[in-house]
Amino acid sequence: MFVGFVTLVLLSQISVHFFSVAIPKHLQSQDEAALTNIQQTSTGLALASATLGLVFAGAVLIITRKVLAGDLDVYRAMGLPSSAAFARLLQSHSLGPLAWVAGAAAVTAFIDVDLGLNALLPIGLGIAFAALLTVWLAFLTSVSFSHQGLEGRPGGKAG
Amino acid sequence: MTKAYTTKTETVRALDSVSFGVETGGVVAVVGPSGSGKTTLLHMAAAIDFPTEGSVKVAGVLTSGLARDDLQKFRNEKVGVIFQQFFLIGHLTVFQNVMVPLIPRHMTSADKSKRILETIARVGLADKAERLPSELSGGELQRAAVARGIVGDAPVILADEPTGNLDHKRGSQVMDILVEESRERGKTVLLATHDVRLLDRVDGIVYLEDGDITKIEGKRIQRNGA
Repeated sequence: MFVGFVTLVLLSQISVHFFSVAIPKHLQSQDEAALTNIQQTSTGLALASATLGLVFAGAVLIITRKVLAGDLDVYRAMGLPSSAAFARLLQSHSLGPLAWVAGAAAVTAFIDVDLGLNALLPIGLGIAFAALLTVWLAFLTSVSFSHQGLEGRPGGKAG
Repeated sequence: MTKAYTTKTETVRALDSVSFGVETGGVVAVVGPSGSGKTTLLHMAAAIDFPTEGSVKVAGVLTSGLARDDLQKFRNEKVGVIFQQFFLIGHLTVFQNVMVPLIPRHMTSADKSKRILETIARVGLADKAERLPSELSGGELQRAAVARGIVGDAPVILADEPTGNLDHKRGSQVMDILVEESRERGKTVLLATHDVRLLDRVDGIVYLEDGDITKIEGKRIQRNGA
């Protein structure tokens, strides 16, 4: 879910950037000030979209918390150190998503460069998504290992 | 020991001044209706949870007050836990799930693999080692959970409703493994169950109701033991 969402957000950056090139081309007026204004607006839209994307990606992560908490319950109950549990969480839940984020960011950046636009935004956004995921997993690990009982599993409480 | 959960409106005593001891090598069942405190008791013994009053001593170790590293070592080396709902990790194969308790162990990969495969074979899942939990039946999931609980060779095995999801034949097979762990390998087995068919195979029985012990019977168990 996280992967699909992040990919969509990153690819949405292409459309925003595309309009910043396509719209000016079809304008009869080639007024420099108008072109600059359009490009500034499109950059603002891209930033707003990126921010909204990060916020919603955070929401997606919160929704999927129970699944990750369940895995952490097991690692903790089996006596793994928190560092080992975090490493396994990264390995199993991050490598795939991070590869997708990197791929989507690369595609977006490539298209931006091809259009003669600034590719730093999709790259920065990709890094922000990766950092968000990693920090979230570290936070969950920390919470789980300071917790008593089982948190993320159905039927995990007293019976 | 006592375990109380405090909510906004009340304090619920999941376990109320429960005290008993189990001799090393014994198989003891904790019996009681749903909500009687069986799972809480096992979680205390596994040091997954801790009492609000009193203490828990398992395999010679007092679980309260353990430093973080000692607590992890206790969980990894002293107890093997078989959870009621299996709690297998969905994206890991049977082999990988059974490997989890061995991750912190200082063993070679070859030794770990050998032990995992032997344990998986013992529970009758040798041909299912590379399957994901979603590809297993209920009985196979239970046996995979048993394999993960015993693979670490811990002196104490804690099993929460280990036959709860199985028919009599398959439940009996799981019980065979647990009894074998006790009789042939000297493990102490504490199991929570409401399956009365298992009770003739255990050494002692603790009857639990509303968090309190109502009766203790059988051998290798003391009401006020430590």
